[in-house]
Amino acid sequence: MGVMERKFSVVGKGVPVKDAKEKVTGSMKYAVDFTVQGMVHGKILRSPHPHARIREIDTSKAEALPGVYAVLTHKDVPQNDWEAAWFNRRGKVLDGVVRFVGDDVAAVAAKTEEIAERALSLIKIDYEILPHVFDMEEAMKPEAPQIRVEGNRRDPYVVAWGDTSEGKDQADVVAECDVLYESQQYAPLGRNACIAEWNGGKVTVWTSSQTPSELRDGIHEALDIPLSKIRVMAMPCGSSFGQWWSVNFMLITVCLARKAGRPVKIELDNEECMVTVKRRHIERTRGRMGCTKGGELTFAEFDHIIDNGGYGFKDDVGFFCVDMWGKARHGSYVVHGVNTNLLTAGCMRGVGDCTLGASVERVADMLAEKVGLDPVEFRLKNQIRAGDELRMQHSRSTMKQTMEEYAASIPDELKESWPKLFHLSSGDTHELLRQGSAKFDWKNRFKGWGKPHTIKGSLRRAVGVGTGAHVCGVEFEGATSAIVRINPDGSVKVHCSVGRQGQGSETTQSQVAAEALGVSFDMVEIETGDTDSCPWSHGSLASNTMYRVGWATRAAAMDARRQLLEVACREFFDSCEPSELDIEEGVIFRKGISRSNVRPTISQVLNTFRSDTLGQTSSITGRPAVPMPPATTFARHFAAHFAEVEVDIESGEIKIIDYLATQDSGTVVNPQVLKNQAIGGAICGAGFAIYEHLVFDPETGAIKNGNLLDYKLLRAADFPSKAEVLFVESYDPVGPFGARGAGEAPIAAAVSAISQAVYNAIGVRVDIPMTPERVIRALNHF
Amino acid sequence: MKLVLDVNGRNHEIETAPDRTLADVLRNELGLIGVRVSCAEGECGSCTIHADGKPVTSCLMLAAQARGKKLLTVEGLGEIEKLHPIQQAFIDEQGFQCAFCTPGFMMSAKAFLEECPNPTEEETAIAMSGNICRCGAYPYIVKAVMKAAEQLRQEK
Amino acid sequence: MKSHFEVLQPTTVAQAIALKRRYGKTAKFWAGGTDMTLLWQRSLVELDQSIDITGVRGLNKIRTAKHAIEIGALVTLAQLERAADRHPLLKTLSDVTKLMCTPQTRTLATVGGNICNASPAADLSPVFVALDALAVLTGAGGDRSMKMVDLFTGPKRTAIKASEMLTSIKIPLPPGTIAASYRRVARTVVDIALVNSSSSVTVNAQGAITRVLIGLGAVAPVILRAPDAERCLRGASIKNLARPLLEEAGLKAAEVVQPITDVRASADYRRHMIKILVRRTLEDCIAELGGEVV
Repeated sequence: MGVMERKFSVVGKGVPVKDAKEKVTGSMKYAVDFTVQGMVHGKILRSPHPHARIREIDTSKAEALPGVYAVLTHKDVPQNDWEAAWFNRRGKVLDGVVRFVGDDVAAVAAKTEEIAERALSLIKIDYEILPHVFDMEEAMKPEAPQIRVEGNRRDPYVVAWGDTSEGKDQADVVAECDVLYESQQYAPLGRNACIAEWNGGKVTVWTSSQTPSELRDGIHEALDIPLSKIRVMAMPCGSSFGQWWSVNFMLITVCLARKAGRPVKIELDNEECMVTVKRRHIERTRGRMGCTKGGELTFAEFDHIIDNGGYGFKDDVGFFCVDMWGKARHGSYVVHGVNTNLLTAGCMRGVGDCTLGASVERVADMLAEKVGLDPVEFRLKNQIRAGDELRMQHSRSTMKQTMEEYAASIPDELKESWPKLFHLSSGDTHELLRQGSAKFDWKNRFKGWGKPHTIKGSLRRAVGVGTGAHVCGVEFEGATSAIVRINPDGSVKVHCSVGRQGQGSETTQSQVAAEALGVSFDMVEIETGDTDSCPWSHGSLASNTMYRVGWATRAAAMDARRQLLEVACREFFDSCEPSELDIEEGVIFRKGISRSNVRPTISQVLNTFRSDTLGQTSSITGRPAVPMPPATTFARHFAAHFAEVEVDIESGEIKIIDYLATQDSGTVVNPQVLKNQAIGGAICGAGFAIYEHLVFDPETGAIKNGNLLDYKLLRAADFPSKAEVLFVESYDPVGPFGARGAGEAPIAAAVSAISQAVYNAIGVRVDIPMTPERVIRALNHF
Repeated sequence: MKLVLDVNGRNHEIETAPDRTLADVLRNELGLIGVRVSCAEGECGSCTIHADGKPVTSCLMLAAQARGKKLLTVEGLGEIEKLHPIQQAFIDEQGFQCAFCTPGFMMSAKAFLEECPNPTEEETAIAMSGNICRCGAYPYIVKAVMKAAEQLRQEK
Repeated sequence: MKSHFEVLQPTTVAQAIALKRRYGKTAKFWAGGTDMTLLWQRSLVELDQSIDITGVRGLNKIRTAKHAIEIGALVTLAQLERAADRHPLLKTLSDVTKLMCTPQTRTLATVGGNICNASPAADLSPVFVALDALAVLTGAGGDRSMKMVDLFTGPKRTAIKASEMLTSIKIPLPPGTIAASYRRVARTVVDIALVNSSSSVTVNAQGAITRVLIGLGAVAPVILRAPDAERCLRGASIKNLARPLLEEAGLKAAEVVQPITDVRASADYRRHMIKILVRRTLEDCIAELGGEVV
């Protein structure tokens, strides 16, 4: 697919984000800043045990404490399972069993936080200690303590093609890996809070969430009350990376508020955010790939285990590396999800692709070295090209129709832009690698595998390249919709359910709507978090926002435009079809006819009816008429990152000294917003590569570094300020104005690029996080 | 304990327990939500404000220790109708994503630029390392501070 | 459960000490609060009275004289950071403060507070030990001094008596020329040291080494000296110092350490690094004195 030249008025412009002024004046409200009149404060009692059952719980003293409004235990909440998006958590709000140290046990609502805390200490619990298991491979054994009613193990998730034993026969060289990935923590800035207020059997919930619709669904499942009685007002988040979807503390707040008969606010402190909510899985890859002497992959075989912690229920991590490296003639990827008595694990930015994907990259690098190919060359030889078949074909197993029935059901006007399902529709790594290596001067800076380009005393400098992939939203939980309303004054409001965790969605969705309608960016406002007005959407996860919500926003805007032009045709233009009209800067005119005096504004068209005593419509509501083509069957976004590192072989310290992030997310709707995503992903990946990991107590499974002193986050001087971003804009046939998803491929590419650079600097492979100590151990310098 | 605090050029009389932190009092008694609190342990710098023109970690300072000092928070730096050059520079370079850390960064930047009006990119990155941006906007934060530096030099 | 406390704000050393005597165990000195606030929030310290000493006069000066440098206990890290131009040793100390916490915390944190917190990994402690510094302690009966290396009695414990207050740190300046250096391993640019070390080297007019002092941090419950390592270099000329001598000093220093494994680093790593850090600090000192390692 080529890069196409398009002329857009709003899309492609680096307009300042809509909330820029609120952000820089500190007036922007996050959930922690939110209050409602009459609210009281909630605190959660947390489990001291990794696995236990409550035999008896005595809350009488806590309830008697002056200032306490309610104490909530498992006896007070309906025993329904509720599920967070994408199997990130499945379980009851409280069920009298605790499954990790820090798990929710009970809650208190009181006049002040201090009284609530004191009340917590007055709750008496007699626990029956149950056997626990922390190691995921131990947890897979049938004799392991079972943490879930359904058992610890999920069915293996398999992606396979061809016959790997044939592929092994065809291979001239084989390389293997056995890598363990420690758990990364979201470590958000901004914490979170939840405020719930009941009124006549209906509840309103304010909290920072990336998935407003999913949270409403979760509350409905847990409490068994109609969706129409639940209103979620999702607020902007601090940094999230997937942490703030629907979280059990939000459900507790809802239940506590109902019991207390007062609005309740539960605010999480930093430690709670780091040790009681969610984390990335601990993951282990055992795998191998083989290639011919010429460097063609003949097979890829990977077995990957992920630990779901106490409440996760995932059977797979999104691993679109399987598509990126899908040219392997034969393949088998098997993922096993298993529960342990550690903090619940779920999706964190780049899930699967920055772990299993990094394993594939590592094995690919080992093969490339064996056959004497440069890493860029090896990738160019073996990575998917647009038009190739995808290996990830999960949807086939859950389709309701046959492919032919499905294809026949597509409306005629959409057929020509309909991509070929199960094939990569646009964008690949080819141009990224070509342009990126030219810009990074790869040929001169790469001196060969395991060979630093500069040695100075104990310092070694080298470069590395890594590629990463991810999907652009998934449709497994439902179709995404949006509403675009045109007001009588010509101003526009978009309603779409997305997160606002800094990825600029309130801005880019508005740009898409403005472009589709032909109005200026300033005339568009947007609501993103109110489930009363925003139709169902998966939310901002799996790099969903620009692609699927953006598609829906554009479709809704086009529908509004159609309705508007029908009215305009009828009232302002003689013998005219809507297709003959265009809109620019809010003015409607007949195409091709220069400067006629029939140029009504949107407002004029709509106000035509206001003066009519028959009171016909004067505002227009647009929505998509058909669901979007299934994104997982053809859309991927890719990144190729180039890194330069300096390693001190005496201390093992690693510095990242130069960086180029290249990415293909189709049309760049807002360059400044997208650069931030690319670099932000790179920095998150870099942190994972060199420092970030949770440390669990071997006796209790409690997290020992749930604070920012000992969970190290990179700072400004830890990442090169001169880092650059390069976009290749392969126009997407389906995405709004050719745009695709963007948020997650960059973190995957970063992990691989930095890992390879370190290998090239010191000649040995180090598992991530590549702490100074791990580097020294790998160098056998002890 | 009665406490009079001089905040953003105005005096406020507050009745509060003596052991409250300054950040807590500014946020919850004076409604200054721009004094952001995240780690509450002096690591992230979100709570950075100025006391007598110097940057301080307000989540570690007792409110009582702010007596007699001139305090400046982001609310006193500029307003939506009239932004400070640092605020405008952060918008122009988009030196933020979720922006929870942004007030803290700008307060650190203001103090830094007063001491070092013509910094290099490297000096700026080091100076900005007292604040954490988890979203990873660092290169653009550095650009924003450099741009603000240029703007402030021109204004002199 | 956190205790609540009242805040008392004396303006003189005498008042501060009197308050401490009056209230005894339930009262604690509270300077910048950058350690105290956290200890209190985590219920690691209980107190009914916080004696806020930030208003006590006379303790925030840095004095340079012929025979000594004196740093008042309430000198902030930010002040120390800006004192680099006043003496080569203050430049060394200034460089150390740049590695400590963050600029906004350095505005509040005091040198005295950092020393009294007595973390084995504290950055300034091994430097003061390597400078043979004295802690000046003031009580009701007057002042007494003790060597910094003896001040630390365990992690977070000092030999300061119940109603004494650290009022200053004195660095005696030896005859000849002295240089000092500090090195550490940390994770990101803002961090606590995983392992650290400081050395000072003093030479006479002919360039012969008359004194070497080494302070080792984060490798024992207290800051250690390394007398055998120090002896290695005495008498050697810095004009052409043999590198093996520095490596030997590093190895000897590593022999006295008793590091632990914790969430930050393993004992093995600390033991491995200490010899490298000692060698590197000695190299820095030799370089600063205009010498050459061959």
